[in-house]
Amino acid sequence: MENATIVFMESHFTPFLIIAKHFAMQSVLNILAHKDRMAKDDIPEIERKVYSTVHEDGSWDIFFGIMILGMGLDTHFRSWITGMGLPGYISSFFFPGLAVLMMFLVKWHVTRKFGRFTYSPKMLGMRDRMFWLILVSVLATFGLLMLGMMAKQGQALSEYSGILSGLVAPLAISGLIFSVLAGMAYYMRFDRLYVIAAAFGTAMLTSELMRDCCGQDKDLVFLVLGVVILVNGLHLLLSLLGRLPRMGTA
Amino acid sequence: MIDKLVHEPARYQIMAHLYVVESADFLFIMTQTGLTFGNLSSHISKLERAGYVEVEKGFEGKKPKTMLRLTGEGRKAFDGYREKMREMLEL
Repeated sequence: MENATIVFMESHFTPFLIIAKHFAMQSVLNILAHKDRMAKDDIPEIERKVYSTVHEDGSWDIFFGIMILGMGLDTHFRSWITGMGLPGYISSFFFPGLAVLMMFLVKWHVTRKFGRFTYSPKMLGMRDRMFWLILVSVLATFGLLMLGMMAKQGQALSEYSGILSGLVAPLAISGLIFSVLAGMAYYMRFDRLYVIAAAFGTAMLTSELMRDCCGQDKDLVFLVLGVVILVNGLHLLLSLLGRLPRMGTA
Repeated sequence: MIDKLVHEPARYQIMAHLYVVESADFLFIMTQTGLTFGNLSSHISKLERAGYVEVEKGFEGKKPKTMLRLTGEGRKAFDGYREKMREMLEL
């Protein structure tokens, strides 16, 4: 009788037992998977990943690459366009304009393929702080340059002119460039920008120190750095475009 | 009881990505989570039915555009789920 009951239960309940076992197993696996997820894929990590995708397209590298390359080519480009009968100041707008245009084109193209997101209020607050940081830094740079020019022309602060036209001004400008870019890197959660900041700051200092001894050869520093950053940006862009699925927005 | 709707790994990923932004379009979530179009679409429908995700369909020029946003209820459910899981796993 007992055996008959067991046989009856096994024959009638086996499918249910298998299903129940399957669900229990699935839940355990899900929890284990979740534990792993909670441990390594936590929200700050996802947040960081999402916001860093903005910089995977290499657009900022292309922007800084062209800007720095422009600083290196400025002297030659200026003499070339004045030789063509065009005003020399075009050179001051050409490379920054090209950098902004290229960055805009890259962003536009990548956003079409990659999709877009809007920043959370927390990130918008960070962007606001970054705006003020850049504004204050630009004003400080402008003030420092004016002070340096005044000191050079002997209009004011003549006792400081020797120091300002020596090591202090290049150091201050380099430090300022590094601080602004590092501040941007922090608020944008853009680690590669720290490297660009350090390289740009160092290039600025080296170039200023080389001014007296090497003349126009100082531009070589910007040329090399600009090419390296630009090539890296193009490499990032091409690899991203190669990875993305080929389709329009849903 | 844990929220089974959030517990599913793909839906957890979708909600986690929407949790850290204000809103995102369908394509962005698809590239970020690595889900296929159909798979993502079905999960989004479930989340929308539960009131966790708000779907806004529109056009950008001639191209259709679908924007996704985690609702207040969705945010609360996601927070609650994470809290519960943390307690359970003692992380």
